[in-house]
Amino acid sequence: MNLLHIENLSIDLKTHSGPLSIIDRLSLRMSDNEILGIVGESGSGKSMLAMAIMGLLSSKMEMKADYFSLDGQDLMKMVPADRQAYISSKASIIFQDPKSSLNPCFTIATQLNETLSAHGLHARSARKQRSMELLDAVGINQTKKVLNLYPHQLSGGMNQRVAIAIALACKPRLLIADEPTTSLDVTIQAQILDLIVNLNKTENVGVVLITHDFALLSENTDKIGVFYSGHMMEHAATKNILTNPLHPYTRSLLNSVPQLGKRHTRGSRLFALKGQIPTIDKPPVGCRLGPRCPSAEKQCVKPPRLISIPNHGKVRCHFAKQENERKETESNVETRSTRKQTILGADS
Amino acid sequence: MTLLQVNNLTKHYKVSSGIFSPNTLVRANQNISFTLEKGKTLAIVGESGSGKSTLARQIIGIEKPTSGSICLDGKELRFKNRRDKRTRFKTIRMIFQNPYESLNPNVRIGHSLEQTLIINTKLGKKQRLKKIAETLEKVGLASEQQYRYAHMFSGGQRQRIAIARAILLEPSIIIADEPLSALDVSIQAQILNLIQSLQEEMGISFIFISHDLHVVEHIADSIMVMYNGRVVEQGNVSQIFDEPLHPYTQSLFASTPIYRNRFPNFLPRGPKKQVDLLDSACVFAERCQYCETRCTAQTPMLIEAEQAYKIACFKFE
Amino acid sequence: MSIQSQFYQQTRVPSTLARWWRHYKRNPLALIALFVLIVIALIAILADLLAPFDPARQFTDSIHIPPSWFDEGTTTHLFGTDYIGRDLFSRLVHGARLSLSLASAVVVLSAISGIFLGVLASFSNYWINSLIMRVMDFILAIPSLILAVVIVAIIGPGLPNAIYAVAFVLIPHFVLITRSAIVQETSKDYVTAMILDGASKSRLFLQSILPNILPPIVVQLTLAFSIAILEISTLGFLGLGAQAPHPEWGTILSESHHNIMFAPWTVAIPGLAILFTLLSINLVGDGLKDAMEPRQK
Repeated sequence: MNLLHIENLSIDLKTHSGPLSIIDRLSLRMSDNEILGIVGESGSGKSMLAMAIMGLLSSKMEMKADYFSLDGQDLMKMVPADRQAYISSKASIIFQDPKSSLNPCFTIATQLNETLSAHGLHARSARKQRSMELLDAVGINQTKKVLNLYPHQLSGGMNQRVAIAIALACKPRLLIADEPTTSLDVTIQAQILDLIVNLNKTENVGVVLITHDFALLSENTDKIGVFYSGHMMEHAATKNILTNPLHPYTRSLLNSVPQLGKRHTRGSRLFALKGQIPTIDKPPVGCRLGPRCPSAEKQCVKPPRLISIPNHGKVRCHFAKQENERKETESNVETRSTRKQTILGADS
Repeated sequence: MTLLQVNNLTKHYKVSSGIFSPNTLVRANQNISFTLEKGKTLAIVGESGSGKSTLARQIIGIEKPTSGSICLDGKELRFKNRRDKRTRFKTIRMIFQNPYESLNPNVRIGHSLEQTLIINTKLGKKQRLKKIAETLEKVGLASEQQYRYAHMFSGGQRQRIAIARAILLEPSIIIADEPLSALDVSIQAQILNLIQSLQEEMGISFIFISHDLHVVEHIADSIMVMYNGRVVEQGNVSQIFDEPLHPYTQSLFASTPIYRNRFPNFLPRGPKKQVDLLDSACVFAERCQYCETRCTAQTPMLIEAEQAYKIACFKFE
Repeated sequence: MSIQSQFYQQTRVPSTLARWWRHYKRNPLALIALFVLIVIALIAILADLLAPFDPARQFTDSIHIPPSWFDEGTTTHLFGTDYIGRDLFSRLVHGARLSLSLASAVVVLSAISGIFLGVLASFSNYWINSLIMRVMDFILAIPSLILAVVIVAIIGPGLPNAIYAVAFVLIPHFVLITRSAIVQETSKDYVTAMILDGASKSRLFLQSILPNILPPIVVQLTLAFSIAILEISTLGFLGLGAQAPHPEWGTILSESHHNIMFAPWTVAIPGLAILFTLLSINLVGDGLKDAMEPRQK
């Protein structure tokens, strides 16, 4: 069964000069217990998708969808109040900055208690018991001590753990992590990410991991969705995306990160997409990547549809089929390119 | 040719913790030494609070070191000396992390670039405009864009302007403090390429502060790994990236996706251990997987293990 | 690099001022208020042309004539006359000139000294800074009107003294606003960048900081202007500011308030004049604030 099933989700921002499209006809399916990675740059709409799933869109946003189900129930058919209660029992979210998602005026215990009683756990002792379990589950050692501390007395990594514990309090089926490690140090990042991936297995939650960092997704996710300017550009299994990216944007993202082991030599340059990320008020005509795409041709002024490629996934590019065929014949001749090797090596 | 030489640079801050308790001493930088060759890139790696930015501020001359010296072209730069300050500001320039804060929001770009030229050169009005136009084109912007305000540019373009401001005076050293971390992935590559081509074209030396090991491996000639105000490991790219020896550096690699597959034996950072530490303990002792009793009492010296390679760990004495 | 930048860009880049105006125009209420304010200012400037009579001239045969829209009113005296037969419309028009120019003088005086002290405090050492700020705290601790009354009581009533008193009372606001804006801006990277250019303190302030602290100061100017009008009128009403024959709005009120029962217009009309002026000034200030500091997206 699908944990999350979205058909044609569009989100518009209402402004003085008419609506601006932030997400345009997005369709997405996510199965139970899957880790879905979503990668995109600023303004790609990836965070807005998280807010839409959580029902946290501001009143300036207008959301439309043909079908939007979370754990088997269509959210679009519910009354707003019911919808909010249903979502909060099924899904929770953690944000980039744990310091701002925790209330600085209350102890960790108070904040956990509040969430727990909101989800129907009223007995004091039971709440305490559950709080300790939750903190334990997120790898905090001295649970008793931490419960009585305030957020500012804990480090960033610890705060993020607490935020995750609060998110787990309602036993969610879906955990959305919006850039959960961006504000943390490298060594802490790895810990938090491992924690999230482990929770996926132990607590049986589906995870949507939103980030701008492809490397983070490469090791931990089952599927990856690539967002650009409000469109889903490519949606496929992680392995397919890493070894055989069919969309030029996915390829450029992978190529623009320095390759492992490639040292600085005179004249060595990274691959870089030209130009700027389009702003939401002036999206390009046709394919959103068009003006920046290295392999754009005449027909790219027509907007491409998201097409299914067998044994791969979905790609929004006019040339995806061609590219796939070319790659197939190529891979028959030559086993693997060097880049594939490094990434595959990383994957195994 | 050695361009910049930093000897035993130390910076301590006194932090008052109330009227009745004694001031605590924060050791932001301890005994940092390095040399920077002409046209080369030194990368400083470390997490937040490791003292990277304090080091940068001392080199550039807006903070006075507690002790130690900074020599440019063999001549020591004194902090208070006016003439030294002038040459220092002219030859060492800086690119800031956040391009949304480093440009004046209410002044036209060209105007603020012109100020830099008015202060530091004797060029006439026409020459100044010509220089600004040239520099903007060098960093990939159109010269007409100098009449715009900062808010009309995207993050990547703003960082280009910040780079233009840095190279405007044709400096020999540029300190870049995490210049990519506020930018989007596809823009990061553009800026990195720009930095590299400017370096090759103009022979500028870079001090590149970053926490992104991928970028560091790509751009750096030599690397300095800092932890808690101290240099724990220092060497050239191949020494650090092929065979990192210090437990902290190893934990950095073990925590970075993709790199951890290259060094499967390295241990990631563990939880903080409950060990009794003396004040003189190794800075990393608490988190170190190999911590011995000796580490809790003494600080290992930064010793030169190989040519151009230094490490501060008892394992390698 | 990008496609756009390969073409010559002909679009004129609006200056910061033009941008502010563009944002300001979007707010209809502020626009109306600005229009009203301009009309009031014009009335004040053209008082000699607009006023049908000398404000001090007494029509002894027509005392307490109601405004023209009442049955007993006449068209000669548009807003009626007061208890000694002076034309209220002429007095109000001349009063506008008096009130606005007094308020302007107050604002100019207090703004110049306040901004100067604020800049001095933020650029000087710990002791001077502390001294200035503590003195300002002291002044702020006393309610402004009471302080103004006390000052006038000491230096004696009269127009110039009222101006000094109100200006003095308004200084701390400017000092605080200026200093906090400067402190806030100085911590930003672009100021550090300018220090690294080797800029002197004065250049740093004029080129880098000043353009960015203007918005809060301009907003404070409008606020101070409305406070000034109100306090000058209050002092006038209490008999401590402008003296009796002067057609200052507060003085007009104080002269007529005994007759409020049988000649209510002599109080209501000057009161409304003060109300509308203050309202439009405050609305303009609000609009300016929104226009100059638009919410970050």
